Formats: sequence, structure tokens, C-alpha cells
Amino acid sequence: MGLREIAAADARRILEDVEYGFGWAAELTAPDGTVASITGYSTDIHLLIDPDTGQQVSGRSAEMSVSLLSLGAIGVPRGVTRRAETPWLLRMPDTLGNEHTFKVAESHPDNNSAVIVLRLEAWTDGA
Amino acid sequence: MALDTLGVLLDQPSTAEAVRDRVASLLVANFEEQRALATAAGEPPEEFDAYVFTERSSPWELARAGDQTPIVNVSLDNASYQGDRSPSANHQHAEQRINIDCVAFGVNEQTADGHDPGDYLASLEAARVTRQVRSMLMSPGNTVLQLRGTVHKRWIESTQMLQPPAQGGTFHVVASRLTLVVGFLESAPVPDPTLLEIVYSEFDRATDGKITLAVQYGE
Repeated sequence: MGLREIAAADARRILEDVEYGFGWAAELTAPDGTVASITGYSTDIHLLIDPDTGQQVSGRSAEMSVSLLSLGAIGVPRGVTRRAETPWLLRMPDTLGNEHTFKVAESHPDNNSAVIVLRLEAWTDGA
Repeated sequence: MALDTLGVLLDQPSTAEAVRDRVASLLVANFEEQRALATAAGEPPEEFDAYVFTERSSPWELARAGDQTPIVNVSLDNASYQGDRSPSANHQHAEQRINIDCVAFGVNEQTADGHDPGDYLASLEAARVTRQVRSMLMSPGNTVLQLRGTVHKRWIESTQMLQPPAQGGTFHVVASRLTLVVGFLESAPVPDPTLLEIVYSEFDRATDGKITLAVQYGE
């Protein structure tokens, strides 16, 4: 096993460490309805730092980083922009136990370390 | 040497502030009426609604709390005063620019055959509120903003849709700015006058048309 493969395996182990690390479980739903359980690093914060000015700005940002090695048959999520398509959805609780459903707005895969960052947006079922 | 001072408490808003508040009041009243008209017509009232604020820089907490109603913020911008049209005593012909910012939010929403993207919904909402605000203020009934005798002109000078960032947060925000120009007389308080001299005058028109003036100074 080469260093690159070792690094990808290490990244997967770190991202999915729910016992001693920051690994966090979520449920990923593909447009065709296929559901997979995934684990990775997630963020959902309401205070951001504007990189241009260094000032705190109000907003909400949510992302999840998962190992590509764990996605398996469900495939690689991507942002869906067409209105006639159902997007990839990601459902996860926050630390307080409140469930949130997000649309996968963008995906940024790193094919070297086999890690993909999913940028998430708020989602409502329209009810 | 003691200097003259105004002698009155400056506790009244300027005309510019009164005009700004009138603009906000007109918008509140008209959005209230729009909601009622929409309900009577069987239309969704939320598509005819907006929260109206004055002079706020961050009323956006509402949206984070889950309320996606658009926000309209009315704030004073610059004013210019026209000296050649103004008496030097206590009035100035003013042209005040008022910024009316419309902020709309969009959350991705599931539909029967797919979804409505949040950026699309936010843009539609921003355009909707911009159109409604413009229609309210440019209505013929509001040519002087219902401040007859004070306002002599109101004009939407421009509307600008502000481009949202390409990559944003979890919900989308699209804003627009309407610039409203209002012409009015700005006033300053008039202090109690100081008696300088009493002058009696009497004009007389003679039978041949000659005008004479008799003047008497003092008591």
C-alpha cells in the first residue's frame, strides 16, 4: 500500500471516529430514493468570519466531509440545480438532538485523499 | 459678549425624518391592505406581505428563526439643499434620497416533481417586493406622500438588484435597493423675535395715480 492509499485510509478512519473523534452520523438520500448511512465531520454554525475583512458576520453555514471510500453503491453526491429533479438530501441531528434536513448544494471531492466536502443548504418539504 | 441662542427645545423631528417615517407608514398600511385584498381574492396573503423597518442594519434574525417573510428597510441617505430656491431665514428646499432595501430569503423546497431551488425563490421574492414597494410609492395617490404643503415631489430614481454571492450559507438571500428622491421644505425652529424698531407706514394713492408713502418711526 502506497503512502497515498495510507493517507486516504487514515482520513477515513479519522472522519469516521465517533468514539474518540468528531465523527458524526448522518443519513444520505439519493435522488432515486436510495438511502445510506454515512459518518463524517459536520459543521452547522451561525457565526462566520468574513475572510475579506476579518469581521464576524451573521449567517448560517453547514458542511459535511466524508470519505469517498465509504460511499459505496449510493454514489458520489452532487449539487442538483434543475427544478425538475430531486436533489441529494442529507439528514442529521445536531448535538442537542434536533434533526435537520439539508440539500446538498455543492460537492467538492478530493480524489487524492478520497474525501468529499458537501456544502449544505436548508431544505423544507413544503408542508 | 453673549450670543443669541435658539431659545426653544429641539425635540421635533426634521422634515427629512418625518418624510422617512411617512414612507415607512405608507408601506405598512399598503402591505396590510394587500394581505386583506389577497385573502378576499383567494390569493395566498404571504405573497403580498413584507415586514417594514426604519434605519435598521440587521433585522435579519427573523429569517434565522424560520420566518421567511421579506424585509423592507427604509433609511435616510444623502440630502442636498438648493440655495437659489430657498429663503435664507428658516426654510431650505431639500432633495432627500431615501434608500429602501428589500431583502428576500429562499429555502430549497420540495415540489411534486422535483424542487424549487432557494436561490431562485429568493430572487423571485426580491423582485416581487421591489415591484410592490415601487407600485405603492409611485401610485398617483402618493404624489406628495400624503404630506401636502410639505412634500412637492417624490420619485423612484432607481432600482438595483444586488447580486448575491456565488456561494452562500444554508439559505439564500437576495436584496434590492430602491432609491426614492423626495423634494420638500426643510425647516428650522424660529426663535422669538427681538424688537428692533416699530415702523408705521401709510400708503396713499392720489386721484392722479401718484403713490405716496408716509413713514413714522418709534412709538
